Amino acid sequence: MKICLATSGGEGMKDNVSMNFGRCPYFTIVEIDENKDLKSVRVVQNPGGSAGSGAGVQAAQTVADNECTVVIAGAFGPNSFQILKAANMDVRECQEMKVEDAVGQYLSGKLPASSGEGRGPGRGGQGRGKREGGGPW
Amino acid sequence: MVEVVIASGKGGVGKSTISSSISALLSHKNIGIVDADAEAPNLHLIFDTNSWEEEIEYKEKSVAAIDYEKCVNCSICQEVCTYEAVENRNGLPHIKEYICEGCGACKVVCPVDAVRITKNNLSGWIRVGRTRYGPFVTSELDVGQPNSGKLVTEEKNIAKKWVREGKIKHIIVDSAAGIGCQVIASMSGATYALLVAEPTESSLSDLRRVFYLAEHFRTKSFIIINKENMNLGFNGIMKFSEENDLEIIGKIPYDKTVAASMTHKMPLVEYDGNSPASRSIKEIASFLEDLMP
Amino acid sequence: MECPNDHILLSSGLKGEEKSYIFRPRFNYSKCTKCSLCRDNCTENAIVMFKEGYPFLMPTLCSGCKTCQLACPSKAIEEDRKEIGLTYVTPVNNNLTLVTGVLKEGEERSYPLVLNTKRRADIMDFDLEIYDTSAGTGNHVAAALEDSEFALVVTEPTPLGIHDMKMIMHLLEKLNIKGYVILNRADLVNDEHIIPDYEIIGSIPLSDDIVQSYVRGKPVVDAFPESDASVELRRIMERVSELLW
Repeated sequence: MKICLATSGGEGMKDNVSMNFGRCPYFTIVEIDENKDLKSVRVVQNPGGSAGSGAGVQAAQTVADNECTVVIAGAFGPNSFQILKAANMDVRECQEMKVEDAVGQYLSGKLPASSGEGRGPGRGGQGRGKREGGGPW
Repeated sequence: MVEVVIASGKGGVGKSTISSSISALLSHKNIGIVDADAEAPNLHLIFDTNSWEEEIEYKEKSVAAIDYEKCVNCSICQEVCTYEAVENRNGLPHIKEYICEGCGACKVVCPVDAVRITKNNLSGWIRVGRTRYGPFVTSELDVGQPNSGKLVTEEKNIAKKWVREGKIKHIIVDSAAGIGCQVIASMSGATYALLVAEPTESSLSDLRRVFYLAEHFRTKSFIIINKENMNLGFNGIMKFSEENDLEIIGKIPYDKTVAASMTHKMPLVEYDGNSPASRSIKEIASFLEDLMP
Repeated sequence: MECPNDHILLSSGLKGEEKSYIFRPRFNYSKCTKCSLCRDNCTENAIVMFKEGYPFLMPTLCSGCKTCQLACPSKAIEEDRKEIGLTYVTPVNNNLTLVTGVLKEGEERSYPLVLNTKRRADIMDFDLEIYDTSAGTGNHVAAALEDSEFALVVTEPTPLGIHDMKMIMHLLEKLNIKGYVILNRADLVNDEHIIPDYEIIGSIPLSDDIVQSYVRGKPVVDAFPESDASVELRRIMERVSELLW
């Protein structure tokens, strides 16, 4: 299982989870084996961090390209949430903490799933609609 | 750390008047101020800040550029441009830079590869300075440049660095106007959102949009009604607040003193602390004060 | 575009409604080869593709530029459209027609609608077109100003107003259009020096009559023809006529 964490720096397990998914500078990708042991840790840059617009789209695309199945950040914007959901990812929110602690909390089932939608108005809104196109992925 | 963002959707509903006055009233809480409304930055005018400790060039603008050595004048670029940003000037295609958004349609179709999209052209400036109320970061865009989520994020990151360094404790953000990326970036990470609306249908529709974004980031929102006595028959905002369980923390009356305070380059509450609008804003500030440790 | 109100002041209502659209891509997955050129060429980052998957669109980010369609080597992107607002053509009287664009709620890009509104005005072949632009200096304002003989720049003599006026003047220079200044609420001046050296062709005083006429939904020159503001507005109109003819 690959877990992607939005992080503020490029320091891997000792880094802090970023409160912002779309515009965090780095992703730390943590691979966990069947026994819940750490298999590998990789840091990749988030191209969304420097995108003028559509940051969440680029960030979500990067996570998908790296074949992660779980994503953890402080909060997710409307665009990124829509794409991560469309890619069938497990989207989790957490408070500010170290990457290693967030992974631990996730594995022990303590991180809440992101509802992503809030109680916003019942119409329009970015990222609220169902995915476009409707074709196979 | 508490981050308060003052937002309204489209501009012109009194966001800056409220932001500047709230900043003045909460300065003893050790605040930093961010003016993220880069298309119409005006807090520096109200604070009368003229000198900057730092000015950073902001580069993002993309526009098409034609290499006339290669151009065979086939005019296909002109035909495909949905923005009508290519005109024929003296028999050659010419890019109107104040219209072009750098989408690259012309580059894709050019049969002789004569079009380049030049990126990272100068589109504005981020400026850091001081006010009587705390350190201040603002930005200004060059003529015709749209605000962007990236610019807002860079501004907010400067203020967050001040928090980490212990220079300030809290951040006040005057949100970018609009409903797109720049507002998402303004809202992201905020603790509280003050949503400013006027009693009109169009302002209510903006309010819905920004509230939706605030909810997305789990930012606790409050409503402020500005010029609330301008349209007393309108109860749309009250209804909206009830439906969404949102507290209205201020109703600011229309007040001529607001315009006068601007000509004197002062936050309203300092220019005339007893004017009707000032008194309402003071109540809002004391409400916020209780939320800031 | 965002909150048009000329029709209220001219008490004309809005007539001749037409829907206004921009392009938006529709992917034909039977032709798509998943080459990803559409996504790679989209500068708005509005197209997403997962591994092994077909592209799909984030409609709120799409600007309708057609670059994806032009870049697609297998003609797999078909033309769909998205409504961005409405345009109207309203005859006010024998000599005056009002052309209006109303941007759809939740739509951020007003430039394409300005273009469509302008096109509707252009085909009517009027003797004189007067454009009431929205605020700012973006391409939605540039499009309205383009091809004008000259521009009237309305501002208040406050630091904020002057700041915005300078931005507009800067844009007018780029467009090679001469700008004349009209000071509104001119008595707000408390410092003559803040007004830069542009040609000022009118100074409209602060006037309760203007507010009152607005509430009544009438132009001030009709509601209060004797008001100071109306006198000055007629004087400005004469000056404008001289400039035109």
